[in-house]
This record gives sequence, structure tokens and C-alpha cells, in this order.
Amino acid sequence: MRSAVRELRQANGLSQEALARALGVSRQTINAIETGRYDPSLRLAVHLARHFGRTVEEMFDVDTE
Amino acid sequence: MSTPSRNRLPVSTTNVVLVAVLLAGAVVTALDGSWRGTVLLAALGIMVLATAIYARRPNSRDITRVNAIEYRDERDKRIAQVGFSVVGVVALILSAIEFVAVTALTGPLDWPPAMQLLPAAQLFLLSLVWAVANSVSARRN
Repeated sequence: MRSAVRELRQANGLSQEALARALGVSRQTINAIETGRYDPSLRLAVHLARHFGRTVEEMFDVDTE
Repeated sequence: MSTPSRNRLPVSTTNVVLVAVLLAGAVVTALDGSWRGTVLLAALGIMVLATAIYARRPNSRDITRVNAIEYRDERDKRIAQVGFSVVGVVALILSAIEFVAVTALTGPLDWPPAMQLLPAAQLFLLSLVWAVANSVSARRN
């Protein structure tokens, strides 16, 4: 699934490590979400969206694999 | 923000139990005078503990954490679930092959063969656990 995580993270000047720490997940999980290898749970998707002040639909494109 | 770990131990609960069982085994074998068993079990216990602590480092790799049963987040748990699912399928297949092979290789005069009991019990228990796991999963999901 494609996401806007990388764009928003970079726009906010955050490293993968810093975002991972803020969300309580590993850096590899952030990397896997950004590269589309891992679809986060609804809980993590909501936390990601809240972190950037966006909606889940703005963060994730569910129509792409 | 996310789901912080409630585990305040230096390693996961699973590893605490694993290390405790291994060290308890070492103590029992030491009391029994079986020093070879004591050294083996104590070394295994220390190795499991060291691996778990190593995997717990902030910059450890995901595969290191999963192999050491030190899950940090939902992705680690999902990776572990897939791994254990494969182990379960392989265990069922190997148990079925073992059961059929023992049954086929046992002569008619050996009936009921004692050596058939272990693979039969193993296959029965694995199938039972599989059925219970399916039932629990169906109710929760």
C-alpha cells in the first residue's frame, strides 16, 4: 500500500529513527511502511495520521498495492 | 503515542520463563551429580539470556529481535506469526509422515507397536492444538 509517510516525515525534518521513537515502533517498521512492504494495523495508521495532523485517508492510498 | 511495552523486565516474559526453566534444570542436574547436563543447561540458559539482551538493543535488526523472541512492535509480532505458522505446518506434515512410516514399517507380529505411540500421540496433540487455535482465532477475528 502506498503512503505519504516518507514525504510528510521529510517535510517535518524527521529521521526514520525519530519518527519510530515517537510512535513506539522500530525504525525498520517505518522503513517497511514507507517502501510499501508493510501495511500497518489500523491503530498504527491512526497514530501515524494523528502525528502529522492528517486523516488516515490522506496518509494511505488503499487503492494501490 | 503508540502502544508502549508494559514489560519492565530486561528481556521478554517468554525468555524469562525459558531461562528460568533451563537454569532450574541445571540446578536439578547438579543436585543429581550429572555435571555434563548441568554445564549444558547452564550454558544454554546463559546463551538465551545473552541473545535476548543483545536483541533488545535500540538499534538491533528486526530479524535479530524476532529470532530472539524480543518483539518490539506489531510488525515484529506479525513476522514471528508467519514464522511460527510455517513451523506448525512443517511439524504437522513431518509428524504425519513419521506416523505413516512407523505404521508401515512395523511388522504384523509387533501389533500394537510401542514405537507407534509417540508419533501417534505427537500427531494427535498437534492436530488438537491446531483445531483449538483455529477455533480461538475464529472467535477473536
